[in-house]
Amino acid sequence: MISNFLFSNTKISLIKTSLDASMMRHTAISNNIANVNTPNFKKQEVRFEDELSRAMETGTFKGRTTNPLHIPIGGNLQAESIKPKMVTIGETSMRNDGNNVDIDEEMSNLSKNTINYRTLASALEGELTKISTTITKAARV
Amino acid sequence: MRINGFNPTESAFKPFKPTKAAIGGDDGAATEGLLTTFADTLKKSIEDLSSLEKDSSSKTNDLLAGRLDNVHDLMIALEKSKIGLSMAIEVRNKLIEGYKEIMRMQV
Amino acid sequence: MSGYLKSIDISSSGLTAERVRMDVISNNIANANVTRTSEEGGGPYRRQMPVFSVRNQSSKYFALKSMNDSIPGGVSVAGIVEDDSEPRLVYDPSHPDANKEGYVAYPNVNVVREMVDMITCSRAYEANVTSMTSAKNMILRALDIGVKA
Repeated sequence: MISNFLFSNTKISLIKTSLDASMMRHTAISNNIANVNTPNFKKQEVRFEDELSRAMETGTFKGRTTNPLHIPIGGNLQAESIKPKMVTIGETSMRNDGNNVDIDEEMSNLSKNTINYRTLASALEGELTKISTTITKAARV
Repeated sequence: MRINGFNPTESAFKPFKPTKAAIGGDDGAATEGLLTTFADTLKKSIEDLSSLEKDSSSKTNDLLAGRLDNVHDLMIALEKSKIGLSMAIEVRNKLIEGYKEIMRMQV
Repeated sequence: MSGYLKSIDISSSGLTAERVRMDVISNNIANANVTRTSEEGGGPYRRQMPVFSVRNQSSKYFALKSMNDSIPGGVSVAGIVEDDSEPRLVYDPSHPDANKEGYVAYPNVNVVREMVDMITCSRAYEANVTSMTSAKNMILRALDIGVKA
C-alpha cells in the first residue's frame, strides 16, 4: 500500500526501466567484446530509447473520445509498457572471418553506457530525494 | 573626508509595493502587476515552484528518450527543483509556526 | 544514445579511422616488394591510401536549426584508393618478372614514408583516446552537481 502510494509515479518506473535497459545493453556489449575474434559472430544491440521516445511523443497526441467505449487514436502506446529488446545486427562485415565487431565502437559504447547508467541513477536519486525531503521536513512544524 | 549630502529621490518616499517584476515575474511598469494580496504572492510562488518541477521533469524525459544535449542542464534543473521544494517547505513551516503563535495569544 | 554522449561517438569514429589507416600502412609495408599480383599479368602491388571525410550528422531534432550549420559528427572512411604513381623500375634481367628490357617493376611503396605515417597515425590514435577520456571525465564531473560531499 505504501509503495503504491509513494512510488506508482510514472517517472520513477520509467527511470527504473531505463536502468534495466542499460544493464541489458552492458551484457550485450560485454558479449560483443568477448567475441571480437570469433568467426561468423554478429554483434548484438539493445533497442530501447528510440521506441520509448516514439511512445512518449504519440502518447501526448491522444484522440478525443466522446463515449467512454471509444478507443482513442494514438493513446494505446503506453510509455510504461515499452520493454528493452536485444537485436542481432547481421550485416556483412569488413573482415574475412565474417565477424562484424568493431572493437573501438564497442569500447566507446561501453563507456557511454556506463555514463548513461550513472546519469539515470542521479536522476532517480533526485526524484527520491524530493519525496524524502517532503516527508522529513514538512513534518517539523 | 567629504560627505555627500543625502540626495532624496522620489522612490525613497514612496511606500514599497511588491510587484511581479520585483520578484522576477514579467517586466512591466511599476503600476502593472501589483501583488496586492497575500493570496497572489502565494499563488505566484507555487507557480514558480511548479515551473521548476516541470523543467526538471521535461529534462528527465529528454534523458529517458535519448535526446538530452547536456548532462549539466539536467543536474542543474534537478538541483533547482530540490532546493526550491526545500525552500517552499521551510517557508510553509515558518508561516504555520507564525499562525500558531498568533492563535496562542491571549485576547 | 543521447546527445550529451556525442563527443564520445566522435572520438570513437576517429579511433576507427586511424585503425583503418594503420591496417592500410601495414598492408603497404608487408607488400613493399611484391612484384606480381594475383591476376594474370597483373603488375606490381600498388600502394594504397585511405581517404577520410567529415561525417555530418543529421537528426530530426536539429531540423529547426539553420540548414547551413554542419553538425559535427566525426570522421568516416570514404574509401581506400590506389596510388597511381609509376612503379619503381629496377634493372634485373634474371628476375622471372622482368619485362623485355630487363627491368622489374617494384611497388611504389616508400617504406620510410610509411613508417612516418605510422608514427603520425599512432599519435593521432592516442590523441583521440585522450579526447574521449576528457569528455568522459567532464560528464562524470557534471554528475557531481548537488551531491553532498
